[in-house]
Amino acid sequence: MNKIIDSLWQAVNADEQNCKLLKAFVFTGLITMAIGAVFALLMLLVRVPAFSALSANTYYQALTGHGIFMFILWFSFIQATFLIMAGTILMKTRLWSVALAWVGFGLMVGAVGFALVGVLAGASITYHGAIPLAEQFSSAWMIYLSFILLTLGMLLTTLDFIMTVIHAVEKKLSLTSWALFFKDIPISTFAAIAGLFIAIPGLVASLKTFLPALLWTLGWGDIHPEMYRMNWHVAFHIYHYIPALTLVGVAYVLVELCADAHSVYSKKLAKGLFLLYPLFVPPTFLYHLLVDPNIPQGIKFVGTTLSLLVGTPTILHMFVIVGMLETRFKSAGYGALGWLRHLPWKNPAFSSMMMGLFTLFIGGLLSYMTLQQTLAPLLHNTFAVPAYVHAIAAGGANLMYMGALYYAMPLLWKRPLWGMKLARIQSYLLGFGLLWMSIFGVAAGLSGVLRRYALAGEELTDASAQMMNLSLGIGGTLSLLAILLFLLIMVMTALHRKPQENSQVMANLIPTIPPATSMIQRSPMALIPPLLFIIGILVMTFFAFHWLRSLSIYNG
Amino acid sequence: MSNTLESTQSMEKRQKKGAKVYLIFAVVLAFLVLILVPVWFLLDVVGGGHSHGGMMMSVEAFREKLNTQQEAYGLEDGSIRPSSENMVFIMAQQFGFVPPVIRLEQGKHYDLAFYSPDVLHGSTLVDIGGGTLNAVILPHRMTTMSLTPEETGEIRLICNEYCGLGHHLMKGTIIVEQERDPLFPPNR
Repeated sequence: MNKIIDSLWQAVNADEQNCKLLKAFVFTGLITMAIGAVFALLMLLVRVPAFSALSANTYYQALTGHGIFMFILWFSFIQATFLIMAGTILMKTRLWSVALAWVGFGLMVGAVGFALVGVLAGASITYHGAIPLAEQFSSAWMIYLSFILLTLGMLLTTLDFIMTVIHAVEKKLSLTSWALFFKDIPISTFAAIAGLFIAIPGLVASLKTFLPALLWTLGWGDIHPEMYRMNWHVAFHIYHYIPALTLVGVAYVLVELCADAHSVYSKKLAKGLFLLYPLFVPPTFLYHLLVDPNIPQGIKFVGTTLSLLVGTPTILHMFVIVGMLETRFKSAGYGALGWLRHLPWKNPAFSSMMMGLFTLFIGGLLSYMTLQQTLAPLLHNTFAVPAYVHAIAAGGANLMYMGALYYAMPLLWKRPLWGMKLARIQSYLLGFGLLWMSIFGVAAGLSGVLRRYALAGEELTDASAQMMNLSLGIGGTLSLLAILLFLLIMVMTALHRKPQENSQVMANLIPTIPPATSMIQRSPMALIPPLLFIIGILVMTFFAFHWLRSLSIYNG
Repeated sequence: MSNTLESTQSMEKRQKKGAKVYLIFAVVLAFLVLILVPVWFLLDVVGGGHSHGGMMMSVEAFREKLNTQQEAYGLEDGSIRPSSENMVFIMAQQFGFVPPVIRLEQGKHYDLAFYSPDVLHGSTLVDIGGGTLNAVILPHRMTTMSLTPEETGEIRLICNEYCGLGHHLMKGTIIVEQERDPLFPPNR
């Protein structure tokens, strides 16, 4: 049996209470994903020109529901799961207080309830909940309340994690003891700790945004729309970088689990790179406001320049992770290119991780167009934005999380993974669907299709309509199928057999990689992705400026 | 035996040194994203931005400007044909643009000043051949978009910020007309 899997199995089994808690988080997370998928289907039916079904009201309702359930709730539940895992199973310790985590979980379930009732009752305010628009929707308060409950729930879970970490340090007042602790813990647990430096300010910003909004909808106090907008963007910006950090933390676990690959650089380096996120992420929130009229050009220029660095930590992590695979497989005797062919492509967790990295790469490339100040007017609120965001979030983060669940489900439910053959295609189907959706979606956006818009057909030119048919009609439908397939695999894994008290249930997920016979530490191939990334953003920037200048209304 | 050990050790050393060189390359590449800054200077797009403005104004004051504009440039069909020497005022409100049809002259420079009396809106100008320029319209604050239309035809005006259940109904039209003969201006 594999050492790492064995030790994980023991850690999960050593603490039944923790296992129950984690199962509750995962299960509820999967429910939110399923609800988000239903809303996605409704949106497809409106926005694909070839379908053009359903009413505008249903579309705006589904838009609100899809954003909240997929991007906010599903990510919150799965990330809370990983946070607890990083503090318990990976560190081989017990949670400081299981009861506190249950209270946090309860609040988060409350958030799910209020969000669902709010959306169904017609609070079509999107996850922006913009003010003063929200006053026109009588159930808008439920959305704000949902966000507040979610924030409080996550704060408690985070507090529990912090206390677990403090508890795990032998001498709390000794710096040496802390230094030793940080040196010993796995890279992913360190990632979770580094993540606290963005998560906590993010959660506080969230309360600062939504508490006054809730009170305002209930008739107490006043709120300035622009203040709300600024606060919302600060909170949201930080929130949507938590997946960026989490997905990398999860990737470090997956490369070890699926490919038996270990860092050739000191763990210190990988850990240190996580500290770059709290440094680079908060100052870049301005890139969301590049076409706002009330921000001076000089500030926009500083904001857009700083924003360029937002991908830097992730680019470096990608180099390290790809390098881990390259050196491990080359050390096993595979050649300069042969190592790629021998990667465990048939392991669904590994393929999920690789498709996640690939979609993240493409989405990241596209994102570097919108964060350039002068290009922002060309793309702001066009369909290009959700198109690249889906490659990054529904691709990069989501695929990575799915990869982790391919191991976590059999571990927590103590049953072998159901439908291995289906699982093998699922990640490729989702990755392909999302890339298709993104690439044609960006083209649709450039041609003039807007996001968050309840029409699909009549207002489009033939070319735009074709782009939308390709993007959402084909790419969106395939992605949705892949999500349903994933949910089926997860549910069937949890239900189809009796639990077994033996780590043999993990047998089909154990890597079968020949042992290392030499010690290769050089990873030239790992430089290719960052190199292609730089070339890519340059080519795309030149193309985008060319397109901008070709517009007859451009006033350069 | 000791020779083998030595060679293994020296190989390990070389490998580690090699690994470091690649790492340095990676760090350089990861920070090379900043290369876009000189590229902006090279393309002469620094500080460029299509929308600007940001002046706060009361709804009454803006309505007065709209009325004056209507009196000076309003046509019988409900459209306006403003002069390029003045700002063109456009009210963006749930769920339409006022005036709904604006006639501009090809080749002249215009400043379009958008204003929202109610909620957050956006202004999208859809170019004649496709492609858009977009800006945010904050409530009670003016957003200015400048343009010099080079081709005759219809530029569609659409709201791009979700503003309520009738968001997709919020549309306007800018008609770009041929250059006018200064001696024979078209009848109003």
